[in-house]
Amino acid sequence: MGGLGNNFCNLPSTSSEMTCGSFLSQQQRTFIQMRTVLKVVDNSGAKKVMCIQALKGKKGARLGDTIIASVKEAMPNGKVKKGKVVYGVVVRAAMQRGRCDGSEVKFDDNAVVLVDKQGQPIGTRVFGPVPHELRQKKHVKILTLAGHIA
Amino acid sequence: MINFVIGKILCEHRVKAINIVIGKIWHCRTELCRFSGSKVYPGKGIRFLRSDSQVFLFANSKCKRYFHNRLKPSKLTWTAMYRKQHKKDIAAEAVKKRHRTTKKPYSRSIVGATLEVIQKRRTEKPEVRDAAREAALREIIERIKKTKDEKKAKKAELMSKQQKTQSKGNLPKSAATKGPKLGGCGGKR
Repeated sequence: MGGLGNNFCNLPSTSSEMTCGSFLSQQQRTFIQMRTVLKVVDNSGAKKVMCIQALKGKKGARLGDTIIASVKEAMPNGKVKKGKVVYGVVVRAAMQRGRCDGSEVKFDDNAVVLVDKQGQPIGTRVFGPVPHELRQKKHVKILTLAGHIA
Repeated sequence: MINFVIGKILCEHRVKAINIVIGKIWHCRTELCRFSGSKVYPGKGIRFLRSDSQVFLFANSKCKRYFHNRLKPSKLTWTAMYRKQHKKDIAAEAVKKRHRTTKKPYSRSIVGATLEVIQKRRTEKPEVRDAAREAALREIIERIKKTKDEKKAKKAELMSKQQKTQSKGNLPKSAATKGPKLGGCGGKR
């Protein structure tokens, strides 16, 4: 949603202003690294989570990777409280991920599903679309909970 | 142009071969770009998934960029949407389509009428049909006349019965008055 907001305020009125507008709205999306704030898309109770470590990956986490995160914002009565350190699986990443057939996928925002150390999701529902890549990473449970598989 | 197309097909086959060797299943389906309407071969393009679970497939970063800058494809001359809106190249398509829709006389037997009956009916001359229609009308008129006459006769009988029983007394009269009414209702049906 942050990305969309950017586009809104940078909307040029005429095509002559296109060049400067496009420069600002075409963000170079990169990995999910320390201090990246992610949206939580399950009903575990947390709302926003900040990545403190990306497991596997020198530069950062991508779509389908697991991260360690700290809960920054949480719902008052939920399984997870603010300040807790949790594991999460990245289900939506603004950075494009290459598919095995050569095409690329990218989402609108960075979103995460909280899991426990074994990889089982803490929540019982997952909102929004979820990519195929999770199947390869053996996060089948999240796929079954998802409403829409990209 | 032809070389380009051949090159594309060869490229597809090559990738397919490699994928089979590695053991991958390839979807090999050319989809259409959501923005420009051009074909997107497998292995090309960028798929963008919005948070509301809507999928957008872009042929290249040009289309993607225009989409993200919220430009309308119907305003850009080179997109399929624009061409459709401004009705370019539709005349040729329309002419082609007209040739295909030619009706053939239906020559198969249906449950209600066998093939011979259908053919006979088809080859009937209009005079014959008119004559048949007139005959049918005449029959109906005669039938209606018959029922009307019957009704009249019944009514006359009942009236005569009523007159006979009038002298007898009031009770039978009320019964009789009820009678023709019922008879009348039955006749109307």
